[in-house]
Amino acid sequence: MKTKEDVLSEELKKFKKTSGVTGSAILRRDGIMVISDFPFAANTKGIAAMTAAIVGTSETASNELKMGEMQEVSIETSKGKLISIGAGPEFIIVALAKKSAKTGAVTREMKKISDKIIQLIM
Amino acid sequence: MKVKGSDKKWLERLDFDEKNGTIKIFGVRHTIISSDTYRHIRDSMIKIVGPAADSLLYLAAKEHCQEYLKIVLKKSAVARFASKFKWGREKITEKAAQILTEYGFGKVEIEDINLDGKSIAVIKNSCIGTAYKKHTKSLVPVCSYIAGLIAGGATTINKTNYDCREIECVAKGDKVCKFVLEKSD
Repeated sequence: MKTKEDVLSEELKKFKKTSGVTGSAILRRDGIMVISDFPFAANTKGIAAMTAAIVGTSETASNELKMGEMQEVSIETSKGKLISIGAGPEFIIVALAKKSAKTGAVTREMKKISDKIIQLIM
Repeated sequence: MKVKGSDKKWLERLDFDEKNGTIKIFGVRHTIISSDTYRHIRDSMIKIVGPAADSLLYLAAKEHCQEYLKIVLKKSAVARFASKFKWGREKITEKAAQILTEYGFGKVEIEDINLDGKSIAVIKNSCIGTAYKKHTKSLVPVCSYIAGLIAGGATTINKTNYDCREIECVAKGDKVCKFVLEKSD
């Protein structure tokens, strides 16, 4: 029988087939990595903490500015994109994508994973 | 300055220079902050960053402790005794853990030590946990900074990357704060 981790791992593998996506991860909002699929060896603990902090801070700023609920955080760099979305009250999904990737298409796929996570947890 | 307890080797080195307003231990400058100051810093971080604040505090403490221990262990009695009595890694780790007691983080007791598997440390009267306990009951452990210090200390002493997590905390209503130390994945 598949564990929750197996199901999420499969979801990340499928997600990687999305055009322009090079890596992804699921982490807890307190900055603990749950599962990651990065294209390089990475300091996963540090990345999880930093990404959760970016999402948390963005949510706080959105609330302070009365901008409504935060939908996604997208960071564009000289080499690509880092996109993060919340997945229920406990988790965050992170995607690494090429500069040419279409953010809308990537986040649509991320929302599907988010629904899957919520289903698994509920 | 009076230091209670039988093992005065660490804090008796505290050097207060009134003229310059400095406190040094083994030549490293220190300052004293209250438990409530730390609680306010953590609370402000949680308010801004969210629950990831504890991971950031953990990582910051871990990195800091690795650097700090490298400097001060050379000058402390722990390093001298380790060499003189040929202490093993576990004995050095146990002794280094007592530094937390002497620094006022709480009374550290090693419940189980297995540096190739799982080690368990208990802290009675954790300065962070008790700072929360008197104000509010927390839903999560709050001593992430101490967990980082333990992980950083073990990493430096054993020259292998360790991680530590708090599994019981007085701020949650537990009797003591309990930490599990394991090699990193």
